[in-house]
Amino acid sequence: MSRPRSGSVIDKVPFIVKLAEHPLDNVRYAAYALSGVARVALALKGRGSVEVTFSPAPGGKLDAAALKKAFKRELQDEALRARVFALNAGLREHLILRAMAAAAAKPAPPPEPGLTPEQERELEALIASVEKEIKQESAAGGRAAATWEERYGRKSGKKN
Amino acid sequence: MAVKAAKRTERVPQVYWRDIGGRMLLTNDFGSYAVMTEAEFRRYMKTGAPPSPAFRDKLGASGFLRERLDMEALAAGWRRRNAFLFAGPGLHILVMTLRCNQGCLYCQSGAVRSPGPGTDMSWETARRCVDLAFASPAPAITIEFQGGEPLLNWGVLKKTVDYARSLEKKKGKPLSLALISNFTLMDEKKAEFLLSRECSICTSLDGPADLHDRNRPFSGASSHAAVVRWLKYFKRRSDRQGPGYRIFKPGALLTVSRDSLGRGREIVDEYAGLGLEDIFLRPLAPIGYAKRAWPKIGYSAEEFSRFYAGTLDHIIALNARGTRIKEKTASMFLEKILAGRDPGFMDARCPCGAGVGQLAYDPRGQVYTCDEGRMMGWEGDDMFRIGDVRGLDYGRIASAPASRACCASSNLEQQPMCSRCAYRPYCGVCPVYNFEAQRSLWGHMPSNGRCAVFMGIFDAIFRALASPKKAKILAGWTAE
Repeated sequence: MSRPRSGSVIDKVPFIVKLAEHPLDNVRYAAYALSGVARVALALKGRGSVEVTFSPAPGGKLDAAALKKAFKRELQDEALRARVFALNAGLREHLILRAMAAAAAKPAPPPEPGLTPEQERELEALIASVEKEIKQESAAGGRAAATWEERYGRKSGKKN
Repeated sequence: MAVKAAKRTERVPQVYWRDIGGRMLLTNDFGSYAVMTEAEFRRYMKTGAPPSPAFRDKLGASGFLRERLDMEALAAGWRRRNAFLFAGPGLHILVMTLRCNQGCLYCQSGAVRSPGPGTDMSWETARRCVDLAFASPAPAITIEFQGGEPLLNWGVLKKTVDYARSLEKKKGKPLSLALISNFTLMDEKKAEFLLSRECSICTSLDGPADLHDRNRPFSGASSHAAVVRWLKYFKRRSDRQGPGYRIFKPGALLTVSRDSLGRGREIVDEYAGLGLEDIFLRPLAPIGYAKRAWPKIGYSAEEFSRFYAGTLDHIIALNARGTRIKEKTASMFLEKILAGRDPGFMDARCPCGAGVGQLAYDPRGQVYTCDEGRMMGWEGDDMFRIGDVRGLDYGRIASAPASRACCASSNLEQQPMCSRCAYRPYCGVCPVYNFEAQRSLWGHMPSNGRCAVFMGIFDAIFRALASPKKAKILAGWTAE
């Protein structure tokens, strides 16, 4: 990775990364990880390298030295991650498929029975009794289900 | 943490890592974790061997040594942790009314002050919602009554509770009922009815009276006083229990506003003083009304993370002195981290619970992927609407564009940062948050506020777990 072209606090921080050292996917992931602190653009430079340009969000500035350190660390971390991921992809897929297949092999629960006509009648009776109870409560002057405004009218002035 | 990739990395199984304040945290797909010094981590990543003999058994049993992977046990563990993938929607949120008698500063629920067309759920609609909930393939379901203030639609709520309990008996499907209320309309008759139907009761409590009443103004009275009165009532009833039915301990939810920052200790002490055994330090989300009020009540993820870490430390210290109180987010994550079980936390699943773990029903009978999606619908954007309860079955729910979009965008395998994150085995993203905050279902995690908040919470939890004394207390927070 080459040095940034400018001084410590600047508007744009470009890096040239050799693809022989860091594959494009790794560069993408590393740049994305830092895209919360700066805007980032990637442009291929011929076949062998990629230019990664960080620019500040509107109104912000960049610390080139800090950015360089962070980007270098992300690239190294990403190289390690990519290697671990690639080496374990098959094993990981095997384990997860094994887990899912075992879950799928469990017998499905029996379909839920619908309500019998007798049960339907019981439910209707229950609903009717609850409705009756609600009517009785309302007739008795129960006004629980009312907002403050419904009870006492809208307030016109400021809040207390 | 920079370690050069070496050939012998071939002996390292799939792991994720993160620097947590000078120590390295390692996790894997099976939800196991290990903490190492930088030197130990470097050695482990180079050789794939335990960095010291003391690590051998722990790393071997938890899937960190490639030559000692117990395939059957690891697959069974993965299945247990992800059992929700094979269940279907278990949480059904019924918004009984959009009306509310409070004017909370951060209200996300789109509450209205007066009744109008579509503000209250009718009995006919409620019944169809319950029918659809019971048709879910989930082996057990929870129906949660929300608002607005659900007690403003008491008649329909009462009937719906009885109807749901009767269907539970008829269909043999276990049912949990939950009510979220501000308690201002609670009375003994309603309380008795709800307790006798084994409905769990939850309210909002933002801390001491001045803070709570400022956040949750209530015309002419203290909303805090009503909350405290009824929390004490339900706690008393729960402590005494009685024949006939179980009485659950009451719960309370805290929404952290800008005014809460710096008052973590007072807030926790208020909860502990009321005998509450859980406190849920919930960050505000810029969704619904809170999005418009954000400049006044919002805060940065860093501010919340500092608040969370300090308050968690205070809670742990209280536990060390004998007071039993848990932080809810931490206890749900600890359930995953230490017990390897899914706590049913819809916000932190992969994929998220939207449509596949939960459904939200608005008063008109419109079904949404989740309550956050429902709030967006009320604000005028029906992106997360699945359909009308009158014409839905679970085939249609699963294949609805909203459900599929949420599943795809909350799949951490497809998130460039999440797929490589050490917290990935325990975390989840929220497409509704992403869309509201970043205008993309996928979002942009490097600048995502929710991601930063979750990172802060996980950092605080894992730093605490690295201390043997604190870890012992935290281990007691998982379900017994």
